[in-house]
Amino acid sequence: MNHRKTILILLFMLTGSIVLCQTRAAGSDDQRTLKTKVVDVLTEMPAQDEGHYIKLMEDMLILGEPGILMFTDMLQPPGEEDDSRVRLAISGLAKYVTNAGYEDECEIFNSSIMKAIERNENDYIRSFLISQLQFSGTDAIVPFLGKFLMDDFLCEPAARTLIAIQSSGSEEVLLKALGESSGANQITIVKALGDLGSAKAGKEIEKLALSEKSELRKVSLYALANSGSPDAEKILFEAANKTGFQYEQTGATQSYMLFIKRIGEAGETKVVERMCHYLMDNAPSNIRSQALSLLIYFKKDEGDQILLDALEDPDSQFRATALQLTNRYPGKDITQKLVSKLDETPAVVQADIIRTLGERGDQTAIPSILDCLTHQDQVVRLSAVIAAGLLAGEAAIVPLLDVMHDGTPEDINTVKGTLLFIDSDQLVPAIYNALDEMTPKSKAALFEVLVNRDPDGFHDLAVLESGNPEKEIRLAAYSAFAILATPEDGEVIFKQFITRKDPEERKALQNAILSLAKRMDVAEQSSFLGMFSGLSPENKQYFFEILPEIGGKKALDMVMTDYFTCEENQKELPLETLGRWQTPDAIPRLYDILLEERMNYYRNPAMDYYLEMTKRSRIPDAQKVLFYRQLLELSPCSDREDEILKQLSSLPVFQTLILAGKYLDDPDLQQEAARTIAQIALPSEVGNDGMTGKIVADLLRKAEKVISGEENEKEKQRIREYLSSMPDDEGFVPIFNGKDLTGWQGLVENPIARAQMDPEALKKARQEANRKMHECWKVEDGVIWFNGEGANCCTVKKYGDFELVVDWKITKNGDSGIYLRGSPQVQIWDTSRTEVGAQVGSGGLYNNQEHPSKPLLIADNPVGDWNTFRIIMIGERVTVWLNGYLVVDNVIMENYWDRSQPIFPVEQIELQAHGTNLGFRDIYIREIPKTDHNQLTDEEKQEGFVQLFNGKDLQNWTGNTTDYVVEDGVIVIYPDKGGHGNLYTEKEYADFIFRFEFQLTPGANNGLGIRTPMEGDPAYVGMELQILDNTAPIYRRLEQWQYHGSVYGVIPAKRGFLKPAGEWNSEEVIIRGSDIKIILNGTVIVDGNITEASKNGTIDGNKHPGLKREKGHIGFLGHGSVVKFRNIRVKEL
Amino acid sequence: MKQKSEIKRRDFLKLSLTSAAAFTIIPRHVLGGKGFIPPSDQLTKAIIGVGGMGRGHIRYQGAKLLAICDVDREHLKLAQEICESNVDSYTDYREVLQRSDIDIIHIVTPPHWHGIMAVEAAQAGKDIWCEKPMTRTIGEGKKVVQAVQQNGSIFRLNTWFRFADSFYGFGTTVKPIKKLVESGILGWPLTATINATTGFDWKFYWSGRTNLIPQTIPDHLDYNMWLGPAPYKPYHPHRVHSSFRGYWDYDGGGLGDMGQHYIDPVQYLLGKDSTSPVLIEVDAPQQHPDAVSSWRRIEYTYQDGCKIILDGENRETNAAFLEGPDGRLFKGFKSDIPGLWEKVNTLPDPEPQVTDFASAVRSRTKFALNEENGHRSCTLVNLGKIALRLGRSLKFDPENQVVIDDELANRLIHQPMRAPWII
Repeated sequence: MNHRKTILILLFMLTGSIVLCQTRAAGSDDQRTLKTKVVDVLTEMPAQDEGHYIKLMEDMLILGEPGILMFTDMLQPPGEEDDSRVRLAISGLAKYVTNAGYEDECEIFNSSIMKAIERNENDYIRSFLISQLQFSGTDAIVPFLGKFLMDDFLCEPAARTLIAIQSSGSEEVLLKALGESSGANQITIVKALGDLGSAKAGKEIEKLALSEKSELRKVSLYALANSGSPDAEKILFEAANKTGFQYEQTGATQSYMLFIKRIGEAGETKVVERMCHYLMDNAPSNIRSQALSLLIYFKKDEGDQILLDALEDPDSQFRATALQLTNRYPGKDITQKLVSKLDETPAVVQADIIRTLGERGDQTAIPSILDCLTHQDQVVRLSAVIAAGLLAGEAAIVPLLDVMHDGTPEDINTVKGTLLFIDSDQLVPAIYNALDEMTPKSKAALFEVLVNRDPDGFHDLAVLESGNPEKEIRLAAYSAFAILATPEDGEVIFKQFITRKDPEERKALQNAILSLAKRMDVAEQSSFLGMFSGLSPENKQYFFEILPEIGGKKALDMVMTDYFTCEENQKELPLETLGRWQTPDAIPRLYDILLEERMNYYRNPAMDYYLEMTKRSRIPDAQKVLFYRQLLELSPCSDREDEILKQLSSLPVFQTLILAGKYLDDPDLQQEAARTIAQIALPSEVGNDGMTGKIVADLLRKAEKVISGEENEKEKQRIREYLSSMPDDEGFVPIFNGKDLTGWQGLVENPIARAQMDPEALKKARQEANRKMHECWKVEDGVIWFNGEGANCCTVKKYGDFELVVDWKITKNGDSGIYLRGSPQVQIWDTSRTEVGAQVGSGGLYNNQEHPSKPLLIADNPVGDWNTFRIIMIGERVTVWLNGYLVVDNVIMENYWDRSQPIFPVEQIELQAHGTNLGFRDIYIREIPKTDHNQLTDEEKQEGFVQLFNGKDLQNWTGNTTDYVVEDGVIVIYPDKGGHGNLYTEKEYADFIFRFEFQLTPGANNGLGIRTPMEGDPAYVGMELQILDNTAPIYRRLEQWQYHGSVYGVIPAKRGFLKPAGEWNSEEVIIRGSDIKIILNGTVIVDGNITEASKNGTIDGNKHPGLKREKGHIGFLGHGSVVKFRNIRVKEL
Repeated sequence: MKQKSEIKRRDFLKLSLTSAAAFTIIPRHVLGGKGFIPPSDQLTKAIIGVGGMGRGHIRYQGAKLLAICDVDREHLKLAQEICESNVDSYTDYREVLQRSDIDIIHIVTPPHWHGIMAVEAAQAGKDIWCEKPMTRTIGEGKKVVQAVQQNGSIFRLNTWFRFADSFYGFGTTVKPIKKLVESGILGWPLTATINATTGFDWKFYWSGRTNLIPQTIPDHLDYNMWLGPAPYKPYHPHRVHSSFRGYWDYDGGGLGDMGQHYIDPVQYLLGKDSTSPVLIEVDAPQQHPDAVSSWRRIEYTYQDGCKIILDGENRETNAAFLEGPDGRLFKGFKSDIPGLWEKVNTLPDPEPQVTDFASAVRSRTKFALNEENGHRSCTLVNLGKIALRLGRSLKFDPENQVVIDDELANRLIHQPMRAPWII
């Protein structure tokens, strides 16, 4: 199939549907100006995929030379405006026209580029264009390129393009230029002739090859050599010989070698032979190797003998090359010749030959190689061991075991490695067979093979041999345990562990214990590790060394028990072991120690470990704050307090602010506290916009006052600046004052029942509930405590959308929760209560039936420690973080009280009472205002506006409803498939006021069609009001009537009133009869009359039959860019 | 179906025998032997290019550093500060190559220099330790292979996952994966997917910038020499040093940066060290002529049906790293074949490889990752680059290493160099 046809079919398959429904596609009804067409292509650059690329390139090709020149005229010199889309278009086409079947287009492209080069004056642009011809250039453009070989700047790119084109014409123009050139251009031209292998300039280049200038000499020698012209031999030889065939800047030797190659290719084998032999006798090592390689290449028939002779050469590099070249000779013949060479050469050469034989894969060499297994020289033996393994495989096993039997440590090691790669069923039986006679060293090595190749079979033997009197064998058995020990072997390992004193053995046993423990399940591990309680102090030390890596609850318990039961002077070991723990579950354990040991000698190191571990652990910020707060409350020395406050500054969560805020009045710590607050609350360079709200502002004001010292004036200034620009939102507010239950009330019924109560009864019930609440909910030390009996404690205020942070803790068997909008509940419970399913952890939406009810992971802290929730509820969706871990991810919360209806839009928040003691503290809430941009104002309602977009779907709309999608309350067009296509109102409108908001991406292009039919190009069959990012550089040269807001081709709009791309604009279009007025962001940008504007023909010179239409659809007209729309409403007049 | 599982270990052996020698288990001190041109006791090296990456090479063990070279005098100054003893500084690599007391040349420049420097180092009789990607074009790679082999040089490419270190998300070296593949347990042919799901994140921060505003060349930088064989373009700091990968003239973005790290072990695993794919397909936005940008997918297909898929945007979130007709292997050595890890432990080892460069140099044996297999894995990178730049699929002839029926693609296999540079 014709290639071009294939591409067009592909184009159709990929983009056909869009092309068809896209009224601006090229075709007979395409009335866009050339300039518009060029800009339309540029808007879509870069092409997003192959189909899009083909489409854009076809769009470009249709424009012909005038179009291509319009593109090239838009190129900018480096550093001027961004022309990358133009460069994409031109370079894209340079490659596209090289497709088969595009020869005519290629010619048009090349001739257009030539014209462009001629009419452009900037060297960098011309150089760019010449470089593009490197892709599409053909012989036809060669004379044109020749003109630039005299140009100091353009000679070089022109020469490169000529090399790429590689035609005889290239050679001609370069030759012509050679005589007239000098300096850098001369070097460029000679080198280019060299690349082309030109032989026609021999005489002239010979002269240049004698130049004093090393670069000129270098390229000249190269050109002479690559031409392969026999006349060049003398010059090349002399140049190389003068260097002693060494490497130097002119590359003389290398050119000479290249020359030999070219001579050989011309069939002058005799000459090659003479030259190579001379080099092999006189040149340095690597040049001799090169000569040998060339000789073999051109004299392959007689080469084998040359190679065999070369093996006697004292030069190892030369020999290695010769051996490698034997690969060119497959077959038994040369194998046998190599074998026969074995007897004649020194050991080290024999070893090399054997290695080569191993690589050859020719099995006829096996007998000789097996013979070499007993060679007295180790170098030969080791080579033979591996070659035997590679070639003979199974047949080598027994001989290899023999080598091992009497072997040196190197023999044993090499045989072991070789056995490991032999693929044979006979391997394992043969090893068992040979084991008894082996020395301890060999036996130990064979154990290593067995543990890999026969772990199950070897298991019992390993257990048995772990008691072998030979240390080497025991060690091998211990190493085997690491792979093959089962839980049942725990006791054997334990016994060995308490018996062996040798450090090496202890290390091996430690590894075995570690590996076994890690492969065990919790119960197995617990009983295995249990064996190790009551060890002697020395054994304990070895055991504790590996505990942090084993990890887990049992291991932690063992360390803790040891700490609390051992002698006062021995606590250092368990404490230090905890300090090395690899997981953060040791932090609460260190806290337990701190609680017990208020005045103890170990308090300081325990605190250091606690701090250090909190700092290094990968745990969420909120959890770290809890850990730090816990330590602060133990009143460590002020140095540590200072350190903690410093650490807090890297934990940008709200809780940090609250915690640090408590230290602003402490004269010793207030400086650090204030800096932390500033650090957390102020915007940072990476991502953080700064915290807002009343609490934040208060803390910042206070921090600003506290921070002292001139050196901090800048910091204070930053705080003041931020405060002055801070948005005026409420932010988080406390809903618990820390002192009493102000703002809280008792629970009366559920929200549905409550709503049905008559006010009097409700009031009474409320009084009773409040009385009860004060009996069971008490405030002490800033915490709301529940004593285990009674009902929920509820906020007086009702909340809709909000973010809530609250700390909580429970006691043994605890159960509680937080009701959101009067409904149960974000779950809180003691995870040990498996009988009710609490092992899943806290934080889940417990009463959900249809949607997930379990938390994503367990993030609870131990019972008795504080936990922290962050809960966000927007609409009916809830997100929960427990101790910084996301446990509920945007899940719909079901209405427990009536499952047929969604959750209540507003209701109180409740702390759940469920029969156990518990506490809450630091309860803060941030209310989230509802934002629905798709709403009519009261005024609009009165005036009779209708909402055209409901924020949810494309009801009222038709046309391309696939590329236009609804997301987060806005309509977005994604130009995935070229991004064209129009979205129309279902209804037709005549006179109307149309209001909408839109957001542009840089360079975006869309349009608003009015009074348009759904067929044809709305710009002509209806009217198009341009929607365009005017500021994009590619639109720099548009006509006045093409910029944003213009009635396309008819009435230009005022420019300069668009907001920057990425911000929302609001626009109003008022059309009544032929009067049209457009207001953009409050400014009238068009106020005209279409009849008036078109009575002497429109300014774009095109026909606009659509101007006469009285009514039609309103539509968004996609031109391949991402654009968003919202808040669309219309009023008919 | 049967046919696939009949690919036996022996076939793999045969394939790889032609390319790699392999004797890692001979201890270093027995190599070389006695009396017969003894290797020098102390190998010596020089580093060309001592930017961030090159300064890392100062610490590489095995040879004594005698000289460093850079076209930026600031780099030389920084490098001198971390060298333990005094080393000689050069600004022209050709002077370094002329020193007879240096055994090994480390090439740690941007890739547009690798080809020329590797060829000239071989011509100067040096052994070579070259940074990845091996060369910027396939044509330059062929020249390096030829120069290294004809001069009898020993060459190592500086990525190591095929023989050492934990292999990205697998928690193990590639060795057990190689054993698994050779055993035929997964069946044949295999498809390897390289994406974030399988443990390999394609990062696109190596994108170039368009419309750079020309800047004054700093006094300490020889910009013309930095460009060398690359076309002359006005200086901008983003073109050079740590951000050069974003420009086609010097490298190929994230593919050039991480490509060989990720793909080379896969080529080894699939036993494709002496061949190349026959079909290369890309799915990517159009590429700017100067600046590299991102891509979505590059797919390589070998003659026998094996595939390597580079999934730039991690679209295939359920992908296995290796998928064959009989089983799949996922990140973390997870598999749909039960007990696979235990099974793999009992399989024979792959052929041993020379993994110590000093040993390879002393015994004149090929290093595990050498000019030949390194060129093949770099060819994967370079084929991907050509297809990206042309925005079309390529058919490739692995034997002659040319693109079939696409003259333009072949123009990108051999790209003309700026005079006076030749390779």
